[in-house]
Amino acid sequence: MDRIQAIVEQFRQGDYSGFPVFYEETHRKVYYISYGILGNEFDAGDAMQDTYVRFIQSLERFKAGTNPFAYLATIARNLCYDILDKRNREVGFREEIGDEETLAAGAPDIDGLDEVKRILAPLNESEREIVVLHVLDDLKFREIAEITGKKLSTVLVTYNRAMKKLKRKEEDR
Amino acid sequence: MRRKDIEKNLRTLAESSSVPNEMEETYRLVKQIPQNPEPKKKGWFERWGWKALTGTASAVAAGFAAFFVIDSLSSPGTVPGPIDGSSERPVTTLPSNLEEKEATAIGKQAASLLNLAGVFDADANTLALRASRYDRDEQVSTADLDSAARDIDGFIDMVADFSEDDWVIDLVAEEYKISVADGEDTFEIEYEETHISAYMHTFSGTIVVSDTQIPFEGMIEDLGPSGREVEMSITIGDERIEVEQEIEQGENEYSFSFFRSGSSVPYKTIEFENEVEGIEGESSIEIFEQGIETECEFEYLANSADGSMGNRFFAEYSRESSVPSVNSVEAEVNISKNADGTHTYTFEGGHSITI
Repeated sequence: MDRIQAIVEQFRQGDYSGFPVFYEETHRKVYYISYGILGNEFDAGDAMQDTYVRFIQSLERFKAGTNPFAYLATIARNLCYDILDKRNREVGFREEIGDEETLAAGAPDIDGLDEVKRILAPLNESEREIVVLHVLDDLKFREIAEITGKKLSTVLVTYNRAMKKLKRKEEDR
Repeated sequence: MRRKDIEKNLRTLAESSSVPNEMEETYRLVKQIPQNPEPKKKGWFERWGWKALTGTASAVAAGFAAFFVIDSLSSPGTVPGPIDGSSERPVTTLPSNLEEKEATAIGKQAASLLNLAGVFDADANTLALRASRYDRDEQVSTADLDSAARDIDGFIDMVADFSEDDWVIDLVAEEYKISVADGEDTFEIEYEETHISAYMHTFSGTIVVSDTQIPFEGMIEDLGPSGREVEMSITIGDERIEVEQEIEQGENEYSFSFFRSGSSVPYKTIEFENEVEGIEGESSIEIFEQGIETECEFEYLANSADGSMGNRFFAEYSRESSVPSVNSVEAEVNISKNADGTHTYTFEGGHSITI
């Protein structure tokens, strides 16, 4: 994290030479957020690019000393929901997941993220988002509360409920 | 399947997936972003005049801030005080809708809250909060592992409190009065309830400890075979503690939020989960406080049918901190309870400490 914070400070000075390292350290997590909201790799890929550009453009609003990835995640999330507002919400996961039974019966070589999608399918949008942000993006609940604009206690309770749903689903398999 | 297994599975799957890497193209776009324009040279007033004005404004603002802080300290809490109504409560028989298990839940939860707050550890005239145990100003061992062991020692008390059925509840029918005893400590609760529906009722009342009155209020929702949800809030001085409890098929979850001086944002949260299945017990605690996130998961063998904690535990502990003076720690610990009541913590690698 210190290395990333140092690179971000360089960005503030107009020095983008550390960008390749910054991208390598963060792009997977940005993709998880984008893919989780938008549901397809093409839109998620486009959103990723725009996320990084907006991050650099809005650095004056980033508070030094805080987690740069949390700020990046906020930008990614807001951008993806802007994109999603142009089409219906909830299309991404539900349509892309297809028939759950088919997925369960099929494809031994299914991509890892497709399997993540299948596992998270029983969750509602809010639960899914919090699980992705905490489990895949390693964000603390406090950071998730700031990113999503929810109360910390709401994030904790929602995450707990999501985990219980996932536990029950796995035990029923 | 444990929560940690689900989380690990999700991470493993995600890490195995192919993710587009468009670094080159993205970098090209980033390099085209104009750098910050050179700041304009300031005129005389912009260099000196604003400072003079803001100095005055700051003094005025500080005066107002001080006024509001003093005012809030003299008006602690947002929870209503003791029950309205006459000081003499009419004697009445216990209504059939107030089942003993509900009264027990309220009494037990209130007692747990007070235990968490350190009331039972305090002098008669001092309500020292157990929350201060985790205060940043506390002196801890310089060795990170020893510090972790002390954290875990405190967590074990918390886990034991929520796991062991050592509360003695005497239900007094006449006045909705419950006496709870924890060893030699006793306190009394008086409360009244309001039925919202057949499955939900609210309650508000007062806990009395050593002539100190602690107002509380809450709600119980009976989920039938699924279990029960209880919410409660208590106010001690300028501290307010809110708790949500969910009981479901052998699992018991608590979520605590600590507020200070009427703030709507908790300065500390504790999430506790306990599950006992047969002779095996599993508990987890997560604490978030002032930039420090501490997690501890316990596995233990219960040595009695009621799930009381046995003499051997295993814990996975992690402390992540954005506070420079507090190091992050991850540790796996075997814990054994000694005959004299102390615990010996043996970390992976052999380091051990007895507390």
